Amino acid sequence: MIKIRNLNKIYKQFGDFSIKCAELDISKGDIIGIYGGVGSGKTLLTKILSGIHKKYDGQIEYGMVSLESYQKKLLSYIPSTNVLYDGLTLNDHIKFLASEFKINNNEINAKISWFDQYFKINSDLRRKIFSFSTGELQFIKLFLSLLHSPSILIIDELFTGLGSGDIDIIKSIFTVLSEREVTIIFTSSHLQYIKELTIKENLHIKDGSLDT
Amino acid sequence: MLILKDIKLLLKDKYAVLSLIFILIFQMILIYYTSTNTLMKIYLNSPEGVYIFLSKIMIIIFTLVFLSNFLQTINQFTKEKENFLFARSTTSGVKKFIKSKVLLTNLTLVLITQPFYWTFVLLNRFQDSIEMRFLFYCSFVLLFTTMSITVFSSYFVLDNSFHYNGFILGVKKLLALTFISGISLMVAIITIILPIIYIYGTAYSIKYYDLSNITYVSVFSVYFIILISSRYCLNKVSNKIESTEV
Repeated sequence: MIKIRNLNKIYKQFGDFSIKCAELDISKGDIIGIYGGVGSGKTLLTKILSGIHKKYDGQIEYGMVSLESYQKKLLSYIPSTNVLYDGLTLNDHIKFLASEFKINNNEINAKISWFDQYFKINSDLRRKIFSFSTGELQFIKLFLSLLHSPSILIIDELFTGLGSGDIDIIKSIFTVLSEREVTIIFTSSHLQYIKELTIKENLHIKDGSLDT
Repeated sequence: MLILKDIKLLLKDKYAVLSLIFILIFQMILIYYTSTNTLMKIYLNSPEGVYIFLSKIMIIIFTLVFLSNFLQTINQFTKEKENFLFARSTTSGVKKFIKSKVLLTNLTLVLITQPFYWTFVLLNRFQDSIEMRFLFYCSFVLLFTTMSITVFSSYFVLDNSFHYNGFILGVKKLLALTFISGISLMVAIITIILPIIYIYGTAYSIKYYDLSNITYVSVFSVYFIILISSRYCLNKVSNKIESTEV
């Protein structure tokens, strides 16, 4: 489903640091973990794959279309930082995203009930974003990114703030998503956690080069 | 709805809400004072008195516009993190997010100023001494100035602030914005608004009842050019932010 060919992107602002990937094919429903050390280029790679960084050499195709024309509705990106509005509640964010992606109330309620089995969000709907801990926020971001039922989910630094018990919850959620043919690409520095989650393979990124 | 999100962000900021409440209370006190004070009523009996009073009211309203614009613009943009990374993940994108924030600031300022102006005018029966056409002219000048100042300060904040984690202006840039907006406001008041009110007042006292159409058209043209230029600058900076890689 995802086809990458001769990807090359040079970041002059980071001292000519470059992201490279010669060839990579990812199928529907795959769960791919990308691991690498600090400053290896994980975040930059996720930003290219999610279309946040638009200029690059090479080819990235999602299905039969290029990344540029791939609709934002079909892709979801979770950055490692908190980009949500601290002063708004979880419910405010849900309502906003529902209007952005034109999701009806029944669908929203079904999503909340489904996610509530794994992580209690029903009781936290009125909580403001700043009151969530880093780990809780990771689940909140995951829930919000799944609201519009994307086909591809890209997560940067998935395990930030999560404990070993949380990994099992994430695994259960990922398994369901994979069965629904959602492709998941996530990055982390923790190889042992990645091994627990990935279904197909783990990829290693070092100095911007992705080994496939 | 982007505007609803921005309204919620505004209402959940207690400092922004308190400042707006303060401005409204200040306006109500002013309205109450002028409508009940006997000396003021005598003063407003002469047409000249009305024109001088209208000039003063315009200065007060412009000061309110200036202060609230500062507050609103900075309040709106400091909520965004990492160069609108959240906006980039949604279908709207950066440009629409910026437009919505500018629109809300505009709406807030118009809601603060226009009802205040018209309450003053109608309560003190300015329409008895001044032609409605001129009162509408003042109202439009106020509207155009509000829109231009909002768009320009949004452009300035976006172009000059450190915008990786929230659009926060540095002290130097904040002073520069104060200076630029303050000077432009003073220039607008001194060169366009006050002289016209004064000329109109003088003309009225020597029985010329109206300003020429050319005066109206030229003032509106100047305002229109200022507004278009500010919008152009804002669009340019929106495009720059959208193409910036964060």
